[in-house]
Amino acid sequence: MKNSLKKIVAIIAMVATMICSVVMLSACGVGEKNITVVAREQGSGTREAFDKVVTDGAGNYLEMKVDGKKVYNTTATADIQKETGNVLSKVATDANAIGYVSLGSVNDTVKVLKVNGITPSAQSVLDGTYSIQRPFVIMTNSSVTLSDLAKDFLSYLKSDASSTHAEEAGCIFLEDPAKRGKNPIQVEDFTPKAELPQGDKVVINGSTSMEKFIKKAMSGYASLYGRSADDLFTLDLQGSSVGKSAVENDKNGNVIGLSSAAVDEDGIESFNVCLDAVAVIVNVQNNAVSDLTLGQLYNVFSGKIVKFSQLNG
Amino acid sequence: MKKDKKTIGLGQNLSVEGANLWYGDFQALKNINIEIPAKQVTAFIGPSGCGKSTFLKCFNRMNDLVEGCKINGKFLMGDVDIYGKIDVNELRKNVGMVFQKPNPFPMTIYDNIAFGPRTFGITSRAKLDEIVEKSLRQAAMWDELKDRLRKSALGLSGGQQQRLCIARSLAANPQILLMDEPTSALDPISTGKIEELMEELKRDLTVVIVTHNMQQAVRIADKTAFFLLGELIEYGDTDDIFTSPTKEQTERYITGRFG
Amino acid sequence: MNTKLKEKIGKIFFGTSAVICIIAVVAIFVFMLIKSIPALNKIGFFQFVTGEVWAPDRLDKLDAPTLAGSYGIFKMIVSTLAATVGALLVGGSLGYFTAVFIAFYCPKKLKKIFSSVINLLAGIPSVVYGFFGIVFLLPLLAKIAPNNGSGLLATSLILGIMIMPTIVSLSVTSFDAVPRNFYEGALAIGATHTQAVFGVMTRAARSGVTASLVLGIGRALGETMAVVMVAGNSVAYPQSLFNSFRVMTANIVMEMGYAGEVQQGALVATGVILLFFVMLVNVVFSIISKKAVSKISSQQSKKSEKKTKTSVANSKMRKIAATLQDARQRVRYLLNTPNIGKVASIGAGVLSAVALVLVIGFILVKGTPFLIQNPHLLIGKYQFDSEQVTILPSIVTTLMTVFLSLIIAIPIGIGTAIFLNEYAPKKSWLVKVIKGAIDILNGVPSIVYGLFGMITFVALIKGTGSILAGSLTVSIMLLPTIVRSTQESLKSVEGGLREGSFALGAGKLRTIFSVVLPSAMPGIVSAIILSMGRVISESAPFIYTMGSVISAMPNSYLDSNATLAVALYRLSGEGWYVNEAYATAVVLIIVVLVLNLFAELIAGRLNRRLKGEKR
Repeated sequence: MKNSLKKIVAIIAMVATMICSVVMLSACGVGEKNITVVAREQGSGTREAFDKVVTDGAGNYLEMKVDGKKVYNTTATADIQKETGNVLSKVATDANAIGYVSLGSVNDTVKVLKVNGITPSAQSVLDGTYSIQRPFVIMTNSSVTLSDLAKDFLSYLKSDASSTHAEEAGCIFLEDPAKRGKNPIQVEDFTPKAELPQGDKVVINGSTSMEKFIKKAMSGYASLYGRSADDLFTLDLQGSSVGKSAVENDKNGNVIGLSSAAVDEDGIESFNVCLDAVAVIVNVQNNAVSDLTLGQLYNVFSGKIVKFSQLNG
Repeated sequence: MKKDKKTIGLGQNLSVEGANLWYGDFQALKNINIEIPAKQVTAFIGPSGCGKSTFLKCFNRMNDLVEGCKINGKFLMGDVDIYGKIDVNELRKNVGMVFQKPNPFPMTIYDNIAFGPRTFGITSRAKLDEIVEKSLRQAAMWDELKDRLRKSALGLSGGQQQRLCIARSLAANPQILLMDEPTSALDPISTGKIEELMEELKRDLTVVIVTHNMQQAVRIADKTAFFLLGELIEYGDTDDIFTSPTKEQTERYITGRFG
Repeated sequence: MNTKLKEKIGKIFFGTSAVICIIAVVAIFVFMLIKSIPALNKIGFFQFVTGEVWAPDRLDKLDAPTLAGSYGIFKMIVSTLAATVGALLVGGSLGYFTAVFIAFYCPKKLKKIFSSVINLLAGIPSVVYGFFGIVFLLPLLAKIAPNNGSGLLATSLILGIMIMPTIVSLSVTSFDAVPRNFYEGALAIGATHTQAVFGVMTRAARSGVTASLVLGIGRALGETMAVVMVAGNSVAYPQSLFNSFRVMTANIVMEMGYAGEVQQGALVATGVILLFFVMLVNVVFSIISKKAVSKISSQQSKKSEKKTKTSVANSKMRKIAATLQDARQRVRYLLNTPNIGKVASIGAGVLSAVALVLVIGFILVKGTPFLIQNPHLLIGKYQFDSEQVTILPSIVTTLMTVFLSLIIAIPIGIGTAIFLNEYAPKKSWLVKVIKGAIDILNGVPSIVYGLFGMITFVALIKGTGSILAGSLTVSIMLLPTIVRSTQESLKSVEGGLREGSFALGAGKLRTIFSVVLPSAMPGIVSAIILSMGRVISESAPFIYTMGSVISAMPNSYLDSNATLAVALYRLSGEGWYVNEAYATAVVLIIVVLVLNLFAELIAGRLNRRLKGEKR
């Protein structure tokens, strides 16, 4: 009948179209793939650290000011991810990916590259040879009087107890007083008081990259007084910027903020407790690269170089 | 019976003067005047779309539910103006209605019948049991259903459902029962049972029935009114209407010239 | 009289519920405007909407003379539109035909199971869909893509699967509500099952299906997490199916945590633009459906004038007659396209099942082994700094939140629907305003709810996050779904039942509670199930209002804690606890499944009690 003929023709046409489109599309996937540049979102402390350091050597940085206006040179085809974990996932599942994460977050699903011949480590960060780094900053409100409990915890953080915690968390403790703040801040000893200092629960808000560190510090401090950290602290991490606002709006004197990028605001008193390296990572199966110069990094992340084979070395 | 509920003191006869009804711009009823006597069965007959169902619904103010519906004229029940300052729900309690399509609630048989009384505040189990039995007996269903009171009403056949709906209306203790083509969807045996029921009911209630079926009117109605295109053409004793109609249109309708 | 008072109180309650919806919308609008207007002033509204460069500077202040950053969102507006269209194509067609399959082709025994399983999909958090996208879908697409697979196609597919349950659920309710005599009338003309289904039944359910599509679009417009993971998120136009692009919601969620003053205002302003889109979509849809409806009714009136002078009182008869006339025309048309509808429906049913198996299977495969080997995850006692994560507190937090938010949202939602359907005069402006408010609420992105909750509930209640604040926030999110679904269910209750009740002298309130609501129960229950899924799967609203750190067992509603979805988000965020994240996803699915089964059990009980043994 006419109807069944029409049916058959229709089905054949549909199948043919599908096959053609798949063939055409897959043709696009043939050949060496482009590099997948994986970046963090603008405003991420990690990205800020990365963008402000990576340069082509001719005055261009991935983030810079041109005539007073901010310019971002990361390529428009970059895959932008919001969290460290997502960057790791992306790089781990894509053989052509390259990205950057906090050194303390690196796991064995990704491979770390050298930069200018230097491997990121505590040593190379401290002596500055590994240039892509940022401070972990502890912030408090500069005008309000801190509660006794907050003050006490603050001195704990300023003491060398932090160095143990930094090690546990994978970041690099800052010993040099000059580097710890605008004015030099000594590393002191910490002795717990006879009784737990007075004050409401200390509210801690800010960068999620510092979670490991601050949790270690919180329990370390609490155990000195024989308490659990839950009794003394409320932890609510929503990002460096939220931490800053929390500190700026502190009326009670019990807020401590965490920032994973340098802090320069009025109204906030801050010190750098440790340093963190930003590691450049590629997929574990990527044998094309193991060491890149800053210039090469710039060209890759700005899209000037699109294939790994274009890098020599 | 009537003592435990407040009644508005409605009589059992209906009297209408100069009734007109519009749905938006369309006039569905034109200047109807009629006196319906108490404790008798009155039938409204006429072709489709002549306004008989519409007119029926005026008596329990179901037309109030239709948007854009306007009514004027005098509607008296006894000597009470039912479009005056009375409680509509009270009115509907006293004027029951049975619909063309049986609409039992998705509940048990018992709950269906108890619905009306419960609405009016009767909660005592004993009282409700009494009312349920009485209504089912009035509808000649007690023996059939007394062992199935707690089963769903939706499990009954069409004819049983309709009689259940009648029993349900009776449970509210109305003085007037309006029936809108109650048997048009039923088989002859169920129809017969319901017609028997109406004979019984008229001993206590006034019954007004809309029917498409002229033979039904002949069988059960004391008085018959013939409607056409929104007008009341002729009204009188059923015998007179059917054996010696005075208007030509009536004669042409009952002899089947048009339908 | 006592009942008169009750009637009055009932009317006031229902009216108040409806008004609450309006207040919620107004509050959200006001909040967003207050936060965004100063920044918009500085940036310049025109520049904001049409500018192509988005390069914010965290240090920009409102009182500075010039801005160092650029704040133009045009590319993101285009991206959002593209993603939404894509989602609608995928989710709309898949959802519609799957609904047809469930309602009309699925063998009776499978129907229940299939529906429950689709509802399960609704409870899966955005983050999990994102994982699924990254780990499973993108590598697959990479085989035919010039890049790593991310982009418009991946986004449309994931979004489509995400909005499908909403569309299916509401459409199935509508299809089930079409009276059986329409179907029989069609068959009586000689139509096949397929022709009856597509010619008559689906047309009759038009309003419900449209409502479901609108709900689906709202969901797609406001979706963030999953999109962020598969779209690439560069500020660029979606020039092809496979290049990195950023939708408006992704912009908000990615930058809010770090944003400076002006940037924050710009981000909230992005939310305002999104709302305008939602309103636009709703207006367009209502215009389209009015045109379609008036076409049908003009055909109706022509034919009926020719035949007899039908009285308006026989409206039901006319409806059936008109639909049969429509069916006749449709039947003629459909005879030329044999069984395409049937194939599409069964195909969609199969595809949905496949998608389901893939997503859930993926989670189970990745998470169950770890879960079994680490029971501490599930039942361990919380220790502050232990490397061992435990999510038991999160399970409790989630249950507490579901409970409270439903207790708030269900009465208000049902009350509003009752007001709209049973009390308000059909064409009044009040009804239009309320409907508009509900539609807007539906389109507000979940992250905007979070910000709103932070400013209002959190600030009022304790100053920092609490389960109470989170529950209040999310209960507003649930309103649109509950209202719309309940409305459709109420509409589907036969008028004859109401008439019967009125004729017995029952007032409106009694009619509604004793007769209408019980009959509308199935649809209402499915709305509740959908809502539960929503609460469990959302994370953005809670992050800003309830806290995002996994802590000890909550003692009261004033404690701050993380729900399962938020815990999942945190666990996966820093890359240290990926295995735990997958295991949490498994637990999450189990919780959704259990809650759904529980709700359906209750619904079944209710149904059986109402309808006796026979259906």
